[in-house]
Amino acid sequence: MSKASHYPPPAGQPPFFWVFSPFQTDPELLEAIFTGRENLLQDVISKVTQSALTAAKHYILLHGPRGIGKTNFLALLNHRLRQNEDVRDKIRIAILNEDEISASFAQFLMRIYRALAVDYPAEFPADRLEQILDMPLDQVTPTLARDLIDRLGSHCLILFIENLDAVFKTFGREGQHAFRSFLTNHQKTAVVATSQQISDEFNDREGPFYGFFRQVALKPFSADDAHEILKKLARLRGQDDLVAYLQSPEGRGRVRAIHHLAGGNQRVYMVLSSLVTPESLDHLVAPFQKLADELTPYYQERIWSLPTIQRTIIQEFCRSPQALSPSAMARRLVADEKTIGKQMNLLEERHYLAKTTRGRESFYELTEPLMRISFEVKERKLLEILVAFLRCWYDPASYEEHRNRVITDSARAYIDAAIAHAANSPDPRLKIFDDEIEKARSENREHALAKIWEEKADATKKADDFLQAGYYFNTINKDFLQAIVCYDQALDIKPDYADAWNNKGNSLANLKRYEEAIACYDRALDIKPDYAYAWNNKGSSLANLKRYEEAIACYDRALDIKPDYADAWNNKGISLANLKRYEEAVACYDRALEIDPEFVDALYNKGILMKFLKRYEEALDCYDRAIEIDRNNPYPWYNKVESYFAIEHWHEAFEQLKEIRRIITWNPVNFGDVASMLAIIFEKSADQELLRQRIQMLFDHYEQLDKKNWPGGKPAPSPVDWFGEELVKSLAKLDPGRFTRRVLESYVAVAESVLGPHPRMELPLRLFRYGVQYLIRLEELKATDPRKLKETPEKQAESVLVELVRPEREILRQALGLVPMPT
Amino acid sequence: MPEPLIDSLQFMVSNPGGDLDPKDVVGRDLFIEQLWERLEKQSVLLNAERRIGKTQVIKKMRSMPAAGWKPIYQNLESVKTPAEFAELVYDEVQQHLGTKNRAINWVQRFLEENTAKYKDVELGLKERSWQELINAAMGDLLAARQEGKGRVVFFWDELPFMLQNIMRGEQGIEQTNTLLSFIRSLSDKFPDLRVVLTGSIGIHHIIAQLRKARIPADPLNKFYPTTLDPLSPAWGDALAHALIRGEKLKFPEINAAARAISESVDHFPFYIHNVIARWKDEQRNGGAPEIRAFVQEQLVAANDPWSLKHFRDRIYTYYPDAHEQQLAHKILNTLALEGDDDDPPQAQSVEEIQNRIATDTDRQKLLAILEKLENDHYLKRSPTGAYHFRFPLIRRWWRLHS
Repeated sequence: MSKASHYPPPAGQPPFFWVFSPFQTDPELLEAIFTGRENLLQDVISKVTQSALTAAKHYILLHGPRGIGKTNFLALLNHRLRQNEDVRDKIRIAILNEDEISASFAQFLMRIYRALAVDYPAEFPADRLEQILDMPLDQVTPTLARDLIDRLGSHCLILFIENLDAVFKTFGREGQHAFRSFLTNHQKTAVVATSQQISDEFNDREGPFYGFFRQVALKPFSADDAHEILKKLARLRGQDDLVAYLQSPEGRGRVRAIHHLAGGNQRVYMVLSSLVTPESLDHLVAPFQKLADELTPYYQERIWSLPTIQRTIIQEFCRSPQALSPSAMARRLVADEKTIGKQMNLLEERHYLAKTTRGRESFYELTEPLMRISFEVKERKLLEILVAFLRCWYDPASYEEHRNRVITDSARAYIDAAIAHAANSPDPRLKIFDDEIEKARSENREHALAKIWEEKADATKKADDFLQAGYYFNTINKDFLQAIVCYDQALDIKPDYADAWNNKGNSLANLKRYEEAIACYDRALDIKPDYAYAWNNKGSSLANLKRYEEAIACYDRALDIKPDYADAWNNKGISLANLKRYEEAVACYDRALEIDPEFVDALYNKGILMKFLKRYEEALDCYDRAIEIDRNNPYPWYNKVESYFAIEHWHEAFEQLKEIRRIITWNPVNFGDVASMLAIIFEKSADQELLRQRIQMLFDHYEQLDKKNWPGGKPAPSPVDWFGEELVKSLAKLDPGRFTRRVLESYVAVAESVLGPHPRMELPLRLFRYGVQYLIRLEELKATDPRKLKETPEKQAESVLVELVRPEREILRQALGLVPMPT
Repeated sequence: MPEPLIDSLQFMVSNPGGDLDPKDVVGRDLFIEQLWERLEKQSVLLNAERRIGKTQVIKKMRSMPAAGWKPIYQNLESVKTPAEFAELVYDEVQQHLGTKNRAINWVQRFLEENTAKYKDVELGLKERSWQELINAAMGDLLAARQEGKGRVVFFWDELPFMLQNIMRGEQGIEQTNTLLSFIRSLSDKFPDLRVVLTGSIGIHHIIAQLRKARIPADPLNKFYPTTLDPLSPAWGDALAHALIRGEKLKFPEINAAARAISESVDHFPFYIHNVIARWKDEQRNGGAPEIRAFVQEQLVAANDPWSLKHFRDRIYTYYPDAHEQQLAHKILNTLALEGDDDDPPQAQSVEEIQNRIATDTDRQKLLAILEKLENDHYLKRSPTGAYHFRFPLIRRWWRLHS
């Protein structure tokens, strides 16, 4: 279940968030601002659902520092489960929040009972608890446990436990054993708990809960998540201008600056959201001071919860303006480097520190530089932090302008300090962007790069940066329109930027706006006539307009400049093949493959051409080479099968199909040109029994693939459905002129005998049957004196299709080539 | 039992550490069948390393019993005295008796006779009567089963935790010995009753403590001792494959990924679940090489997420004698460091070990410590009697940290 993020606040009343007590917040509001963790939430819901519906029971521990959003997550999970019609009647939820403590297992059971009594009073009457509490002390725990289990009946108890590490600490080993025994003996309870850290209670091999919980670290917000939540909060508050601003590259860049200083703590953004406005520095300074003030106790608590040695490390980082290696830190603390290195590593795992690796050395810095305020909330320190913030926030060129606009002395003092800093040190914003780019690359988050480059370009106003942004929008994100916007910005700054013209041409070509693309390539070539890539790209656009001769001329220009340009040779080959200059095309593919023997596209193109020319041995050679390069790609395998069919090497063909079944473990987007394979089988199988066997074996292949449990992803058409579609498409590949009516009818009979028992083949078989009747009728009409016909034979033959309902008729007309296939 | 094909299991969802649906406990059918066969003859002591899946195995036996058996599962880890144990057994038996039987049974009468009462407040069982309560409860239970038709097996899980609790109490040693002897005697008294005792903390340590207190007999010598190993490679691969599909994870080559997961964690079902859950939670990408690197990360991570350091640390508590500790470390270092990671060395004979560690310890003492290391799941003997690490994963960790 996924909810829209829009939530209209009641008229005239801003929505209220309980920052520190999310269970109090209206769940619809929680839904509206939920960010970045939908997949995890869905996963936890599915595990709770499995616990409710089967004997399996899941025990999940969500861990992360304070403020990371654990309670928010639980609150929303609670809401979703109670709304979920599949499970809500099968579960009973008990929420044990962090405010209460249990000093013993008995108290813990009592809390569970009380929580259930609030939500399900008929099943868990409060007076029963009072009766149990009147029993002798040693009877209370077993009676309470038995009562809870009996009263649950067939329901599964879902326990939400906040700060489980603290709970375990208070009720000690004895209580822990009792709790585990309770869970294991009855197997009627699933647990979703939170913890600030993975304490020994969860990892001690001698302890009862070793390896018991699935431990899930709640990740800090990324800059994108931070941006998203601020946008959602602004939208909820009806701040449309702020939403628009946050969507601009400048707004995004500023959120990235906040993220750089504040890290990924959800609570920071909840506090900040009510303070951020885009208007002026005066507006910014005050909220920032307020933010610092509100968050100081929070940071102090986070630091004081650490063991002493880790606290001293954090303290040193708060003092240091720069990243430090373990050896530098060990020196500052007069301690052993190995010990300090290990502690820094642990602090990184707990998200206090962030690590950057340069060569063999690791450098660490505070994940949340704002944490510095917790050590010294004095004006001098605050000033330093604010100046750092301002420098991340504003463009240095605009400092003077801001200085003239501010009205308060304190704001003026901050900006003067920022100006002084700017004179002596590089622009910190660039470091933020470069760090983010580096980070996104190292984490393989290529999709994030386009926006970061765009934000950087917005800050630097450099054409090169806009070009980079455009490149990523075009190549990775496939957002061609946004790429063009970036290239245009690059060209506004630098109109004779040949690369930008070339790349803009590529984005236009991707949008199939080939004429405009060609105009861009021409601009690039005016500026830089020996630009081989632009010649090649222009050739491709011309080829897409079927202007093959002109395309070849462009490829030739590219190859004059860069004779070892494999892409251009391959492209020239395609255009030559389209002009039916096959031998020249083959020579081009061969040249491309000489330059790059692993150029798979050229191998495919050559293979397809060889197959078309019925030079099957050479086609097979191409596919074998392609398979050597990428064994797991099914397409050359299927092309091999088709070629083997064509040369009637039936045994080899079916062996290849076996091999395909072995290698395919994912759901590919297509399963080969079955239509061509079927057409060949029909054509080459004179004996009806052989025909039946071959169709049966081919269909078996698809049926067996169908039975595989495909992992993940959106499935393409299932293999059997694919076979069905292709059976209908095979009609267009049959040559009815070569066969008698009897032969064509035998196709239908065989297809029906093989595929008839399969329910999903019913429609394809019907269409195939009518298609064959159409082909037979068409041949008869073609043999008739044209003067006796009222319409063309094709039109008149369509009369056999009238028995089909209209949608089916349309599909068949497309398959027969009477109307174009939809693209 | 045939080994499965890698993609032959229905998809499953990961559940590291949780309770599994019995149908998802795979690769254990042969073990379970052998256990039922063994129970025909005698009771069983199942001792295995933590998180290897013994509780899941016995729970599967509970939910799918062999014909003619009535299985009862009880987790004993929070029990602190023999009397509590007896009450737990009694309570459980009550659950299994129909209302009719409950009303007329011996236990009811027994309780009336043996429970001291004062102003309607029950004061609990008299100290010496816990054995009789269990005897009575067992008698009731078996009588309620039709003659010749029903046999009952109690799965008493996490027994060593209970024994440790009892040992800590007053007269702990004697009480533990009495309790164990009593458990041993149950099958003699009730031919249709069997017991499966399980635990991960070696019960031999408790027996050793009893011996130390000059209680010579091994009270569990009538039990058939057995242990549970990780899954076979084929079952490990198939489990990983099913979990990958169930969690909808994408790998360039699913078979290779499944093998890499299963192989790199020695086909431990718990770690297979664990790796797959973490891979999903952390939204990791890559194929077999990245999976192997991820497992390696767990072995070297500063916070020791799989608590493997414990295997080294527990030597100090399991082997209180300093000489034994030293010897155990030497033996394990020798067996870990010979050969390389991917090419585990041949198992080493007692003589080879003695030569390599250059010890003047006499052979009997060396054999005794080797036997202990075997009981504590560090080592395993090959058919020729030579020793090697039981789990390659632990050996890899040892290599990295010794």
